[in-house]
Amino acid sequence: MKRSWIYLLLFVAAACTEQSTAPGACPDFCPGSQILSHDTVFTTIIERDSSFRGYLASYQALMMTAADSPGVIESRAFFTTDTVLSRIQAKIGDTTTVPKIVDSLRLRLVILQRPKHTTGLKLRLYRLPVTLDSTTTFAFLDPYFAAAPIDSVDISALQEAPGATDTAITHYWRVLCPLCIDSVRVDPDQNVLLTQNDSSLLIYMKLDSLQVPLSEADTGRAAFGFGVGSDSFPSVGLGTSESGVNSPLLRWFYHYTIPDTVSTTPDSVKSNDKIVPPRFDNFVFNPPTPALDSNLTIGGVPSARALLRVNLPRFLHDTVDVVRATLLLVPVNAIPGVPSDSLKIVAYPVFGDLGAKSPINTGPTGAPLIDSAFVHIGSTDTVRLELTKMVRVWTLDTTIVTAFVLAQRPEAASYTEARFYSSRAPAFRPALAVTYVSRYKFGRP
Amino acid sequence: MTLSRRALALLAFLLVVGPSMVAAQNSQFGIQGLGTPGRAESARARSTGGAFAPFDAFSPLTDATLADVRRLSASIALTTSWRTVDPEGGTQSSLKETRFPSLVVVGPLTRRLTIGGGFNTYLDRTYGVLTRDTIIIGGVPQPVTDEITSDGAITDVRVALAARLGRRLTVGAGIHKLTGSTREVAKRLFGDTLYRPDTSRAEVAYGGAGASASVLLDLSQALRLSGWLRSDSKLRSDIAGAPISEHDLPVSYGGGVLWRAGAEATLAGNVSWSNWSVTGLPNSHDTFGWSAGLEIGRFGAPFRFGARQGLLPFGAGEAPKESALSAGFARQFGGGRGRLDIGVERLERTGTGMKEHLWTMVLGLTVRP
Repeated sequence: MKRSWIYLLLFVAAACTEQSTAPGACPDFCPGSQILSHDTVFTTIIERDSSFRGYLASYQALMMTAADSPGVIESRAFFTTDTVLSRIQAKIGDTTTVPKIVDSLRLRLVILQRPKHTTGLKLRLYRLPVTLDSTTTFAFLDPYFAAAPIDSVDISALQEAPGATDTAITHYWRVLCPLCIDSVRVDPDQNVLLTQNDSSLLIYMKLDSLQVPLSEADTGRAAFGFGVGSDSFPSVGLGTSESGVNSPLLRWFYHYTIPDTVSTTPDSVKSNDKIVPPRFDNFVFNPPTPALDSNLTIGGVPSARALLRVNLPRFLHDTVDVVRATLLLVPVNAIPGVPSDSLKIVAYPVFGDLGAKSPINTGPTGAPLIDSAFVHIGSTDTVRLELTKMVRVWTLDTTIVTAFVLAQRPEAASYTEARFYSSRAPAFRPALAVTYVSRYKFGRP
Repeated sequence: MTLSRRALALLAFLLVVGPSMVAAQNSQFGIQGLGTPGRAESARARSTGGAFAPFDAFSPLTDATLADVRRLSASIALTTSWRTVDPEGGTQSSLKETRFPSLVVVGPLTRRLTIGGGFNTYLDRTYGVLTRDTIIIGGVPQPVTDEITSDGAITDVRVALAARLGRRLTVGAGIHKLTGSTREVAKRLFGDTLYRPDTSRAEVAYGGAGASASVLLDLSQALRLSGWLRSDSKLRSDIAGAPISEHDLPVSYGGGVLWRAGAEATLAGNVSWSNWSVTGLPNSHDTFGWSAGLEIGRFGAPFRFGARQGLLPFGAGEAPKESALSAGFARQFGGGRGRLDIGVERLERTGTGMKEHLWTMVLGLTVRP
């Protein structure tokens, strides 16, 4: 009998798997109801759409752009550094100060965006007056950028250079950037290039005290402007202080003498360094951003956003499952800018519809709904931006505001802006292409 | 723990989990109908092709046979089916299903009156259909994969009384409550991942009622006749309380004969009819079926053989046919307080555009505490 129980248990164990799904032999051996997909372009559900400018100024951006495309756009990035005292207290307890003697400087820049396929990409460094601020104009910088640069670094050549093999050098730079990938590259002028794991480049430019003297009149502040050049029309994005870790930094290496006033032994020399963060950074460009018109403008400086309200049909709430929703935007003209650039347009949900001041929802409830699309410079193609996640949430929760904001990311970091036809242009107005699946009719043979 | 206690514990477990898995072996022919009718048969009856069902107290087919049980007893059946689906011009596929098709608990009320009840599958609605297609969205062909699954069954819960009216005549009657639900899922996956998968779910609840009556006539100690009639009302289905559909259910009737050809051999056979065409569904058919079976060997350890043939109620064109051969054996244990029935059935179904082949293992456990 014991064996029977074993058989029983084996039978039960073997029975505990199910496979009841087979390829359908339709229509005779499939359920009477079918899953039906529909595809509709809603041409009039985007309404009361507007653009507003002034959300972020260029000096508040996460990136500053330097570009040189004559006739199209010229953009100059610049920053000023914080104060560095020219004298130092040589001894603790002794109020007597001694002068700092600058040996060299290292200017760190992070290139967040660059043309990947251009050759001969160079970054030029110009000396600027330390009085620069948010009122500085492109024209004001003309004489300084017309002068010879105090230094330049050939980024393309650095990228092509073999990696350093001197372990003392590589160890030193690896300690500075432990997460950097690829080799440490050093050019004959001791400029260093490191590659971060997000493909951004770290440039350490070596300068001397002739190029950047420690000016007591300027309280040790310095100001630099950046221009770019290459075999084609270049445009690079540099990290700003607002971007945190990608901020430009200037490191002063100096020495000073500690006078020995007690004995006849020689004075001792001590070396030190000081890293100074930027005091202000910004970029200016020419031609300036055109004024808003009746179209939907996104991007530019100060940044412009477009608020689009969606009058969602009731049946999308009740009876269907939206599987894809795509916003269709028709450009008014080819997106202006440097050919190697692109414009990232992001659709943000809003907490509430307060017109220009509608707060965008980037919190835990809004972040998963954010979608984006890239627009290429010079393109006149219809821009398609996926809004599936947002529209699905709208169909499920009728209390949510059915409006969204289109903005550039990063915002105010580039002169580039896109203009699309608004609902005031009936033939080209924004539309929403929705693919939905009708509710399946359950319970019917 | 004694063997009979173990059997009781197992039976208690099956009583708890059984109703959630009640179903019979399924068929693709039932997808477009109300489902696949279950077999009101114990493991013993199933091993004889269903021939012993009208004479077996633990087969829920007839009520009068309950009177044969003189002690509180319970029986449950467990089946596992390996099904090959062979559509004409389509892809052959192999499926596997495990079900608790029936449970019967019965005990005497008085010397002449016996009460019993339990559940068995009335219509099985467990299936899954996978289809691939290309649809046009925005003028662009998009490959899609649809999967429609249904998991559940309509269960017949029965309470019945049987009475001996004399030495030869036994009658029985029962009332039936049809209940159950199916969890149905319709899923569409798009080849292009920009399209989100669509999944719809619903739990469809079913309800209905029925009544049955049967009679057993012992012409002699060796010869017994059985007749039964059952009528069910409408089958209502609803989702979250909202009615979805309503279909008439058939009247079923049949008769059988059992002959004890000696101490160690018993033969039985029966015929049955059901007018499933009253459901009003397209491609629904009235059905007829017959079965014949043999039980030989000692009472405590018999061997069984049987055959059956019949029609299925749903299917395109003519009514699909099914035929089966079965065999099995049983062992008593615990001094006759328990019995284990094991059977196997080979069944073939043939209809317009589809063939099905099944191997079904049947396990039955009967305990008399």
